Amino acid sequence: MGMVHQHFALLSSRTVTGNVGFPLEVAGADRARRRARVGELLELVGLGDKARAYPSQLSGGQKQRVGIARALASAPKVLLSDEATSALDPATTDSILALLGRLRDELGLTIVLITHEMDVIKRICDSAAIMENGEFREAGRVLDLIGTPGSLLARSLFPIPEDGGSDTVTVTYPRSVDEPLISELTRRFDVDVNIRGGGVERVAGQSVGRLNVDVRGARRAEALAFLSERGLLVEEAGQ
Amino acid sequence: MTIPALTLASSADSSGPAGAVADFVLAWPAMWPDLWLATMDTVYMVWWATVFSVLFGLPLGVLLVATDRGGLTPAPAVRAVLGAVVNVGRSLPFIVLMVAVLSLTRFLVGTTLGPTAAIVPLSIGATPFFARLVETAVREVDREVVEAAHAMGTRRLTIVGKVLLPESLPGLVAGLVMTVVTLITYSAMAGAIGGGGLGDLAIREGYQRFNDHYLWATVILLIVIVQACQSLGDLVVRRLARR
Repeated sequence: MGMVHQHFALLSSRTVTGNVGFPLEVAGADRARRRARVGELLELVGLGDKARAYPSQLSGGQKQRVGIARALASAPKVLLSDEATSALDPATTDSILALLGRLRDELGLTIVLITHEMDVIKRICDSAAIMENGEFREAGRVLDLIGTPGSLLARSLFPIPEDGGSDTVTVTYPRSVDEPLISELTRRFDVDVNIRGGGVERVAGQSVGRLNVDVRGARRAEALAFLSERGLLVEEAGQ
Repeated sequence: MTIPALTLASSADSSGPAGAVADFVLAWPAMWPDLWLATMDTVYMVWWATVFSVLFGLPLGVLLVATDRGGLTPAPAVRAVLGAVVNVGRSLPFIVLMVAVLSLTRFLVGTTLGPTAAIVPLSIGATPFFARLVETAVREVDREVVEAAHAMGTRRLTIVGKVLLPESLPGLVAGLVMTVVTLITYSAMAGAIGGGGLGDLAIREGYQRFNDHYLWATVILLIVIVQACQSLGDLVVRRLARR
């Protein structure tokens, strides 16, 4: 298992090469093998030109790339990323996440990612587990969790107003939906739909949405049943 | 009695301040053999005392950090004992310590006089001093870095050698320079009980024989030596810190 740290945890007295080679050195690899492997790793994370630089000469994103290369030195199956992007700005976070995603696909890695940034979950996670006060609150595949009633994950991914009245329902699209469901709803069941808030996000490769709407009309119950039949998650206020 | 005598001695062989300076400069060639020998004695004492202080103080300082709570090998009892020993060493004025360890000096060196004998109290005095400076420098090393090394399966002794010491090197060198400078002033005190060196010369010739020229010459040489050490040390620290 390799580990990536929030504050990089690089040795300031060693160059990039020395830092990436550290785990190999500790494991007793000889100089020639170390050099070859470090060169490989630096190319992999896109730092081939920074081999001789000291950490103090690098930007935050570059430092984290060194941290990732170091974590991969011993060819682990699992990479533990402890808030690896929390100390980085949004653009750098994007590039680091892209790198992690690419490494996952190219090396067949499992990445365990600890984060408080919901955006990170949307970007690269397949499965998620939410912890609160030291306990697991929910765990499973991200799309399944979003489609689960009362999901904490869905609520954190889509911050929409929760202060609706008795007519308010929250409709969650746990997968890509191309049909014009809302307009069909108004036509078929003669209900009025007022959108209070909502969002559509790209999560785990799917367009996932969450809408907070008021649905009013005589055939309201039928309309909501129709949405449920189409695979949407319908949560009524006060339930 | 000393003060009037000193004033007399200086006014007897000079005509005004300019004359005094001229006399002083002219006196250097005659004093030089003595000054040179004394300087070499000082360098000899300080060098070996520094070697021993690093030899004992460096592991002691690292142990102070390692045995502390949250350290590499937390051991409160060991740390309490080490801390107490260091504090005893630090709380004695050097001139008292010198006298207190006379019998140990005699046992180790065979005599209590001369520069070699002075190395014993100098080392004992500077070791706890350097150990505290090492402790401070090593404590500065980022905890996350140590934990990262730990997570990679690095053994504790390897962490000391490959993480703690290299990472704190600028602080260690700064501490070393401070120790050398302190040892130079200590070595002058050692002169008071026959330790040899520049301090000895200043006291014998300058104080006891009222020879101002020797007094000022040793003062100048001590300042020059301390300055040289400090500047060289600062240069090295800057080089290391630039990484």
